[in-house]
Amino acid sequence: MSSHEFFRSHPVDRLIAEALRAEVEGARPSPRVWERIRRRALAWAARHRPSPRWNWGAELARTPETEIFLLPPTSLLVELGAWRYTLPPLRLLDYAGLMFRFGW
Amino acid sequence: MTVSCPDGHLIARLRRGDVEALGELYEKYKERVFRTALAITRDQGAAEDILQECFLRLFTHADRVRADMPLEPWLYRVTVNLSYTWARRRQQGGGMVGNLLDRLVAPLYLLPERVVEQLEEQETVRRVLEELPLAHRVVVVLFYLEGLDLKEIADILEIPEGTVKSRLHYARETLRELLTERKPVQGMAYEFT
Repeated sequence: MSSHEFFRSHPVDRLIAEALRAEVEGARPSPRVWERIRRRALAWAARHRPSPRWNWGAELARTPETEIFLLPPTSLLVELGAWRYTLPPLRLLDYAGLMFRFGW
Repeated sequence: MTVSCPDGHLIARLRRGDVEALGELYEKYKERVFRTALAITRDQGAAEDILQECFLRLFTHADRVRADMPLEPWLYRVTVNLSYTWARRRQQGGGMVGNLLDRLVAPLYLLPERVVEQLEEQETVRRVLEELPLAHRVVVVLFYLEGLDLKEIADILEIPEGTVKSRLHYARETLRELLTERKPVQGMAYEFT
């Protein structure tokens, strides 16, 4: 006799099974439960729908490689601004580096 | 080897956020989940909350559910874990499971003699089951109510098969002892080995 059969063979086992079955017999969840699940699942799905704004991979895949090089260049003003305001700090760093190196 | 699973296509739909697929799975498994939760917690409201949380987790964690394996063990595992959480909160809030039991007991004097005897027996067993530690009660519910075998229970609870066997044995022996102490069940003799 397997252990499985052994555990089900005694009258006490039958009694336990009957008592448990009687306890839950006829018990059904309220239909409102599914309504709540459905509402919350829909809300979750709406929150987690993937946004196309972040799908850069797909956007780039749709753009032919040649077009990436033909993208309009940055405006001249922006270029000048970048040169005017980023170069001096870099120069400063460079001078500081030289001073550090030869100052010793 | 890929195991063909009837719920695989529904799980795949769940991953795409299909609520209709969740509805189909709910219809298929709601009674099993609800029955298990009710038998462990013995509280209709708690069982409904567990049922709800279980299916919401299935929906929100669908990418972690294996589509090539049967869904029942996953559902049982979540149900049992949620029942443990419920019991812990309940214990912290004061008092264990109990009130429902009194409501379940019918007024015995209104019923025929044999029915009364049967109800008394079941009532005794229910009270004894209530005194079992929760871990033992879970094993008893999965084994006697859900008809799962020792290996299936071990897989669900993620414990060794021997532990399941010993919990079941302990529960069974405790029941036998307590039943004998309280009231000899009609027409049954208990021998101790």
